[in-house]
Amino acid sequence: MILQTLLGGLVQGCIYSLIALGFVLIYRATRQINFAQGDLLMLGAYLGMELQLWGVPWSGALLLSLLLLFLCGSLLQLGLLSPLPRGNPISVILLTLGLGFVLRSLATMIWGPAPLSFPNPYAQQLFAGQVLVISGGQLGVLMGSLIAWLALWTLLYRSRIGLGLRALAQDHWIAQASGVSRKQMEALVWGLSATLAALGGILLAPLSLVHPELGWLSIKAFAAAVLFGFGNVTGAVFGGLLLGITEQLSAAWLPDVSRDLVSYLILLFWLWLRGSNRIGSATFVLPGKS
Amino acid sequence: MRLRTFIGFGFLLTIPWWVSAFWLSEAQTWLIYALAGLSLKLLSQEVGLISLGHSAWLAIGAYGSALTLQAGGAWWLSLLIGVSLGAMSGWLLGWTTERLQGTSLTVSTLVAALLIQELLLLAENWTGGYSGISVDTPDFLKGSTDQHWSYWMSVVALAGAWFCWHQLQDSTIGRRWRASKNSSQAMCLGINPRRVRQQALVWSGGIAALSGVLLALQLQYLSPEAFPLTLSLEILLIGLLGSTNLWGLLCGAALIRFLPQLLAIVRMNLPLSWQDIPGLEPLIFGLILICWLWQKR
Repeated sequence: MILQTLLGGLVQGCIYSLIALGFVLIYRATRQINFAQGDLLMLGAYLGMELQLWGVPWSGALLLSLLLLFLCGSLLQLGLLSPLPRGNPISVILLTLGLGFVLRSLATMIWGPAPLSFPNPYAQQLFAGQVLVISGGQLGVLMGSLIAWLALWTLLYRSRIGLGLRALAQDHWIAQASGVSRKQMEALVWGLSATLAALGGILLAPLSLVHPELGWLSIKAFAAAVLFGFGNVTGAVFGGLLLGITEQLSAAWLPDVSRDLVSYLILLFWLWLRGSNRIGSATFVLPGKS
Repeated sequence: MRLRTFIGFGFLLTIPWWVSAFWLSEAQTWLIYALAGLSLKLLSQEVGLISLGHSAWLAIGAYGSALTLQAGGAWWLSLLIGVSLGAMSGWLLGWTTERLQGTSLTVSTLVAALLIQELLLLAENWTGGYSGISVDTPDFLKGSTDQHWSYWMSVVALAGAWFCWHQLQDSTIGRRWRASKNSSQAMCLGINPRRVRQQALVWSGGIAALSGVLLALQLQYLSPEAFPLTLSLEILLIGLLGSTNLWGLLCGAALIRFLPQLLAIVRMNLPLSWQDIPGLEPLIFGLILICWLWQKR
């Protein structure tokens, strides 16, 4: 029983950590906070559903919607956000919030406000063991997140692009002087985090329903991103997992209290506890070679 | 206060005699929005803090006063309790976020607002959860000219808040607020910027709760859906759009408040297939937000 709850938390946590990674990536490279992250997740889920309804096979729909969201993210950065003044992070927060409104109402216009069910690609496979039952959807989330983490880790720490990104996060003047294009990198990072959000959406969709308000999840993912210090990639992953598991456990022990409440309380408490300007200043704890 | 402001408030007082009941209640909501915008403006202009959680303060004031009225309290007691609950929550938020600055502070106001909404749903015995509670109308508003009196209450509240703010601006507190924007300079002058910011949060919370109390009297029915996150954004836009004078504030409130009505009229004249498309209002709202940020650049 407890193992089953833990598994549910782990799955939920994987989704959180995918969104949280998106927050952290953007924050590290551009010092901006993207509050439309959750709405990009919603958009990814809808796109995946729509493509499947058009007859595209599951893997094709997955890849195609990831690609589309990558383009969407980078175009957003290039067209809408990069012309804004850099000194004022609040204007970016407001702009992305407004963008969230636009995306949500566009989704409502196109697909309607009612929750839709996502075509289940796993054909109801269940992996039942002695103590644990894993559904196909849950396994998909776990595998997908693992692959995404590994791919992201390889990109960040084992490639030239990642080197440029990390250089930009540390000191953008020196990085630019060494030939890293800030504009390209920022567009890339926005594209990447939109892709991560879309992946989260498509993996989550078979487990829940798809609706325009799906994106509110991202507030909790933000809590996860802040948990171990904002701007820390591994921290975002573990923060997401921890939040997911805490939520599931609290839901099991305190069934009356909403799960959202727990995560908001954790976030506020943590902000109060760690205080000393975790989000405002750059605190980058990089594992491995930096 | 300048003469023009006096004339402006005097003009607002005369509105009940020459508009219909419908427009009077619209005007009342408009003034309540302006009051909420003022509370945010106080925060953003004096201490440079952008809040995304003002809807929660409105909710606190509204529920506080409604519950007092339900328990049989007098109307002035409900007003007092609503406002002091708002001020107390402002103090609490200031204390919780004492060590935060800038973006993280803005984010924590957002989280606090979401938390309040969850708490409203959780305290189902008092707040009625999703189904909400009705607000008893105080006796002195029950007469035949009730709408006039509740309208005048909003005018008086707005004028009072405006007057308080202007008095504060020229006092030691106001000067400390402005000084605390540059925290290192403020600390050199012996001002504790955190304490000062907490004071501003208390004032802002109190004024926002006052507008919540008035809103409760106006709506006569409260549910958590009456205070969505959109309301916070609307208040933020009123506070940021409006310039420093009363005229600007009222214009900002009018734009935000009457835009949905205007959109509804536009929607009625659209082709039939377009009329029942859901989600048109938030789209326009988001687009206005984006356009405003763009032209400000």
